[in-house]
Amino acid sequence: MRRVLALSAAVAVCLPLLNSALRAQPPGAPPQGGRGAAAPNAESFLQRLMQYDANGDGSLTLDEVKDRRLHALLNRADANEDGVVTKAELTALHQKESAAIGRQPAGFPPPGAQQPPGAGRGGPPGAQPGPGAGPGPQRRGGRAGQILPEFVQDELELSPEQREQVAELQKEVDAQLEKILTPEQRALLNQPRPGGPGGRQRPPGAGPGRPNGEIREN
Amino acid sequence: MSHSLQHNRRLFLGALGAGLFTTRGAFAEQLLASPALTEGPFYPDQLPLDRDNDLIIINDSLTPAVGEITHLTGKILDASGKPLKDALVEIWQCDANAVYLHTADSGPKKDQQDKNFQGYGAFTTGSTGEYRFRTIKPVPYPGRPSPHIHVKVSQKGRELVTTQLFIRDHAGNLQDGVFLGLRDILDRELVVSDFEPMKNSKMGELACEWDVVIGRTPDEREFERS
Repeated sequence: MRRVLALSAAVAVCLPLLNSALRAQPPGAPPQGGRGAAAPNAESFLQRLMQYDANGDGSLTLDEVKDRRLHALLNRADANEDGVVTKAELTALHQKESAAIGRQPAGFPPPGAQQPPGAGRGGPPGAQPGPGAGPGPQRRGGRAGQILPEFVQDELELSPEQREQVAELQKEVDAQLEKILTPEQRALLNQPRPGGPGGRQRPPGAGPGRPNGEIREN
Repeated sequence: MSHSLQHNRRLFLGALGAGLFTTRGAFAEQLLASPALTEGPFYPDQLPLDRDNDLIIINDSLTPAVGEITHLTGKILDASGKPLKDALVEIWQCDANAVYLHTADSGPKKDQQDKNFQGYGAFTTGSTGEYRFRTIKPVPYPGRPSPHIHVKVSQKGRELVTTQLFIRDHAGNLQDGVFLGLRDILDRELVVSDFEPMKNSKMGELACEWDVVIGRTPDEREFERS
């Protein structure tokens, strides 16, 4: 029995590794898209960074972090600018930046912000998406009843034509749903959900935990 | 076949080794793997005749592409920081008028397209792992608020990673589905870089330096989950 347990434990440990090793994707890379994955919490963020803590003092210096791509982040984290980035500073940064993300309704730019004008120097007006290229009438965040929230459309890189088709389909769905639901139910449905982005405040000093910016699944 | 099996075996053994020794400080030299991102629909369906690393000038044309000229450089490294030699780096992006070099995009937008932009370029690294392109600063694309350059790295015909490069702190990033698909702010850090005025450039050219790290060890989070 013990042997069986040990064996299955070994298999449990090895299978994901084997899987990673055999994937065509470089194994170190996170899953593509990642939309379905839970937002990593501050702990895993810290853990990934603390592997660079060569002297084991629980904080990081630029010297220790050999991956120069992370230096900008360390500099952002170093709130008191003493050249030493502590776990507390990293946790604070994670909380701040994840929260900033959480406040953004994913994929739903405020009207007018989606296409910054002037695509490069001398970009002609043609650089603006045509009327059909826009996201149709639905600008709000992935509300209930929405077939393909805009960020999903973005991710799929739908063509303007496809977007139009989706918008048409959405109109039909909305019309049908309208008939099914009572006005009260509709109002309820359109209410911002508690715990949604921006709706949650972390008590100060709550320590590392799930970031405020825990991204909802739309 | 046996070669690839061996290769996989080596990968596996490496993976196992890395997974078992996750003590603090053990990976002081370790670089984080560049996260893979969607290839998108517009990898050129017909590669251009001119596939060099200068996307601003097609063949011997006298007219350069429209856009902010950017010198994009960096290294292709493995997770231990070793440069990858003979790595084929391919980049593709839409032109300054938001048209990709792909018949599905440039077809309907023929009049909008900047015919002087190469749209695609390739470069093979030498022993230093360095790559170099001259291209334009990326611009947003309808439905993609975040300007980006698509990048694919392969070696000996084997694809190592396909990802995208974004402009650090661009307002569109936090509205972009692909960018936001990276849940960990650490991963986001690995796909952004600065586009800054190039030193000694009288023409206002930009420089962007960005390293791509090919992961060889399994994602540690994956290991923890097991």
